[in-house]
Amino acid sequence: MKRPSVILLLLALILSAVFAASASAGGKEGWGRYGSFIGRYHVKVLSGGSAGVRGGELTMFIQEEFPGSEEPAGILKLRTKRNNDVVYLKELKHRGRARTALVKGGSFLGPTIGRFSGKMRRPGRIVANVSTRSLGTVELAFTRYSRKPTQ
Amino acid sequence: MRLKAPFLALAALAVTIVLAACGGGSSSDGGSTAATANGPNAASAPSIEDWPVFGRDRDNTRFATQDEINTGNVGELGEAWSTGLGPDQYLMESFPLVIGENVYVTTSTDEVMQINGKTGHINWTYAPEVDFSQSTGVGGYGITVNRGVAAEDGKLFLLTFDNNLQAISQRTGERLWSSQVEDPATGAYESMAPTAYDGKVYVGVSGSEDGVRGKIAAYDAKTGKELWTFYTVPKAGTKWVPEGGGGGTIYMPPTVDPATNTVYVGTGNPAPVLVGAKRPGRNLYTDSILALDAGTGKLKWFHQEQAHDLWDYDAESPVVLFNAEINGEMKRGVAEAGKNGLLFLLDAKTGEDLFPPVGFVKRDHTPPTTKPTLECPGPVGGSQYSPLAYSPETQAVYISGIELCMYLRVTYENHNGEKQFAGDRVVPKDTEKSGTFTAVGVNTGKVIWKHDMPTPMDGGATASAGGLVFTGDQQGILYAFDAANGEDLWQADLKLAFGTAPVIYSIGGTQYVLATVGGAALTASEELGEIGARVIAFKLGGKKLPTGPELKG
Repeated sequence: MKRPSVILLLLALILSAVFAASASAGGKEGWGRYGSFIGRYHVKVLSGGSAGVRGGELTMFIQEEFPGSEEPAGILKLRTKRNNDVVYLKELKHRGRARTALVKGGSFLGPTIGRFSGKMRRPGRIVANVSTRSLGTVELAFTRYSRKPTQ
Repeated sequence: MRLKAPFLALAALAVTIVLAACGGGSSSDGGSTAATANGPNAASAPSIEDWPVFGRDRDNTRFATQDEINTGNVGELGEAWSTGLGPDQYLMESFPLVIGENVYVTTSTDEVMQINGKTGHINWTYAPEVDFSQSTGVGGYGITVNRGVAAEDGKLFLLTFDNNLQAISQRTGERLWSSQVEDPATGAYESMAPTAYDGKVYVGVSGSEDGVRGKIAAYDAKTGKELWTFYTVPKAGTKWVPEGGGGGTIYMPPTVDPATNTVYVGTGNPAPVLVGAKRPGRNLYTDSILALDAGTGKLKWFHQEQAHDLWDYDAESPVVLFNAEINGEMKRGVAEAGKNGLLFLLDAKTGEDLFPPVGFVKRDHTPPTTKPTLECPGPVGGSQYSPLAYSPETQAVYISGIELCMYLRVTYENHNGEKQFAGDRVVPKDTEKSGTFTAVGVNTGKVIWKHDMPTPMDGGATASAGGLVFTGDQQGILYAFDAANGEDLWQADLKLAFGTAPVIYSIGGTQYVLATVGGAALTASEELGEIGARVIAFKLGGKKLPTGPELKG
């Protein structure tokens, strides 16, 4: 095989590997520019799921357990008639307007119990489905009211 | 144990009505069911025995006076009922109360449930509106826990994560009043159960790692009005506390001694946590046991367990009071096990050591530097919030220990998760997390027996007049040891990690051991196995559960 062919073949292999990795992970890391999503959100319930979610709140922030470990994450409280359901968003991904995350239970280090899958209509405005075994699939509209996670 | 007379009367009336409805007659010993199921001791068992305050009695001993379940028959213990605590519950650090026929338990997301103690039926759930957004600051892990309620005069008192003290009706679960004890914007949060006594509710705040200024305060139980506040450290920017610093926060309920009108409480570490140069001196009153006047909040004495702390060695677990004969003299004592791996036995009048501190885990630490140093115990080690049990029969306290060394490194940086830790803490790779369970004589200051446990021990202990001491591990194994010699008498594999110690109560003459399981936040979060938080009651003759592995020690 001639050298240019080998190089092209290697390039093709590398590109396909990168594409495959990206596709299997569901997009690029994070939810895009921090300024477009970090902060606190009101939650409007579009569909309450099997648990009958009535409302909630979302906080998106940069988790930094140690220097250099910056990683966006979220805390989602969903309120049913009888419970405060608090879950944690990790491994955020985006592709185009799509925004996804794994839903963790108990803490950010807890087990994966579901999935967050939505679209960012514009910075600070997200519509998403949140699915867990306990809640079923809940459809929610998130509207940011503060760019500061702790205020 | 201490019970309010009107309450006893109501409880007895309730039992009588239930027994009559069941055709069990008016026998106050629980009728034929109890006699058959519970063996010869059933006839002498009291009809109702509550667990009405955090540690069952005002001395906070976690010692149950019933002996129906004992060293001779504990092998017959089995599941009476089991109740799940709702969707997406994964942690459980709640220490229940039992009053009359009802169990009162909280979830990690601040719900309060009244559960029938005989059947496990959830009678009502109180679900308050809570802002959990500040859990961005709880170690960056998003951990929220609630360690239980206090009860007095028909009210339950709850501290919500976002720093509200709420009173709710014990009967209906309706909210009566709510009072904010701290602004969440300071980084303060709540995890502790309050203490209620004589018309006052005693509370603290958590969050030393965020530079929160620690305090203990008393509130009027009828109105929620603040009566007094004692700050455990100076205001930020004054005396030894640098700007943004603080500490001395509180994680577990204070212990009130009615005889001396004294409130005892343990405090947490100073902040910035790893950078001692920014906070000169001993950093009073961090990592200390405080004795305060219950009426005014005035300091009577303090005993600092770790001066100028550089390792996050809180005096976090709740204080236990005891009476012991020491060198021929009766002494009123205070026991507390710290995160520095030492048990302190103090004179309750003066705060002076009765004995030298007793180690219960490996201790080998040096001041942290900008290069990683291995510190034992690490910041998640020693004894965390885990309550001791004290048995007046063995004159011993029982300590849950965590064997976990960690690398610490000073970085001077504030990280988003914790604003004032000022460094890294990392568990070494291939570390096998383990624990200890240790009995120490309060009249000798000596270890009586000790078990090396297969996992960190975070839940605490519970002792009984049946000669038993109970504790649970992170694999979900509930153990019953012989309190005198540590013999492993009984185990049950509950499949969910322990973050609390059992409570013991009796209804209709039947003694129950109640375990709340689901895991402790800091030690179990990486090891959560089966999902869910549950309350599981055991009684003699109940359903058998599988056992756990044999212990080494």
